[in-house]
Amino acid sequence: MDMKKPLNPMAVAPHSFPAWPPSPMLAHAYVPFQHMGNIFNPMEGLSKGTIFPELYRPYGVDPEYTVDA
Amino acid sequence: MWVYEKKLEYPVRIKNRNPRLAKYIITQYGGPDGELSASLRYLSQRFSMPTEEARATLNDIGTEELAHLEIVGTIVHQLTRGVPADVMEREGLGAYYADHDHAIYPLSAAGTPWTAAYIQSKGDPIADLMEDLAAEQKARATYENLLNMVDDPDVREPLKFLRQREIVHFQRFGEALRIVEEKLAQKKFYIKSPGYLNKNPE
Amino acid sequence: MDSARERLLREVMAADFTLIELNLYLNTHPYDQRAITIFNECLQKAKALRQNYERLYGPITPMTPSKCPWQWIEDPWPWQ
Repeated sequence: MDMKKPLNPMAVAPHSFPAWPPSPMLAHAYVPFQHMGNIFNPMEGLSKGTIFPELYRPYGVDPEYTVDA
Repeated sequence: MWVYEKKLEYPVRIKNRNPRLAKYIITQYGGPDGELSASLRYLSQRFSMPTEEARATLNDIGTEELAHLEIVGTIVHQLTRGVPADVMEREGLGAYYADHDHAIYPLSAAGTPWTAAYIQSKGDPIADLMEDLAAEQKARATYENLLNMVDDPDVREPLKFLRQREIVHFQRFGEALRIVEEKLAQKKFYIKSPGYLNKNPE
Repeated sequence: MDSARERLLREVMAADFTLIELNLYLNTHPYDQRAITIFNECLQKAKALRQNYERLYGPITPMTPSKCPWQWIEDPWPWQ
């Protein structure tokens, strides 16, 4: 990790991270930042395992998360 | 410190005992990618995290993993409760029964007792968070393997819940990594890490 | 555990789970005012549900007033 490289001043906004970093660096891994939209109601959230529709990935439905895709 | 709440995070009510399943599911109690590994890994790593967001994330996900440990233990307990010794043996839990009766003991599906060799707490926040991302994927994959072997809906429901939690945890560790990377790259943000300062004199 | 008690406990579980999810989200989004507002609202509902459950069925944590004998030890424990 190159600690001496100056950071793009626009890259860090303490009140909201952009989904993707403006200047991604080689040899670094990035996960996109979630931005909360609507949420499931409590009973539905509990039964699904998350209150966030954008994070809900039921097994066997999303090919990315299915063994026999 | 910890407060205990007398309820599971997700309900477990298994009507049909099944020691054969218990033998596999116990791997998420004491196996390499199970909830004990997750809790101890995160609760150990939290001490050396360099930002508040990462400290909180490691702390709170580590805490939730203890709740998951409890769920897995409950599933195994309800699958084996009151099962006679000869049935335990017939269903593949003879060796386990010999040493542990109907107790819950942390070991893997193959019978290997839990070991701290399953975890790392490296002190390097990037390495630690990358390990945490990998751990969540391994746990998710293990729950999928278990779901591939389980038909009983009473058992499937909590396993599906636990699998979905791993996906959410992955997202949070990914965000913590983003935050740590950004802050480490800012020259004006001083991280209290003498080792780092010695290695990279400004 | 009778079914009325179980149903009420599930509502407490669901309310608390929403709080846990918002807690984890806010740990990496500390400036999300909207999420904080939702958290604070959900907290009030969860507290009311919990207090109601505890009044009817006994303590969820040991740090609540008790009758005699000491209620905290009463079955069922969560794994039973």
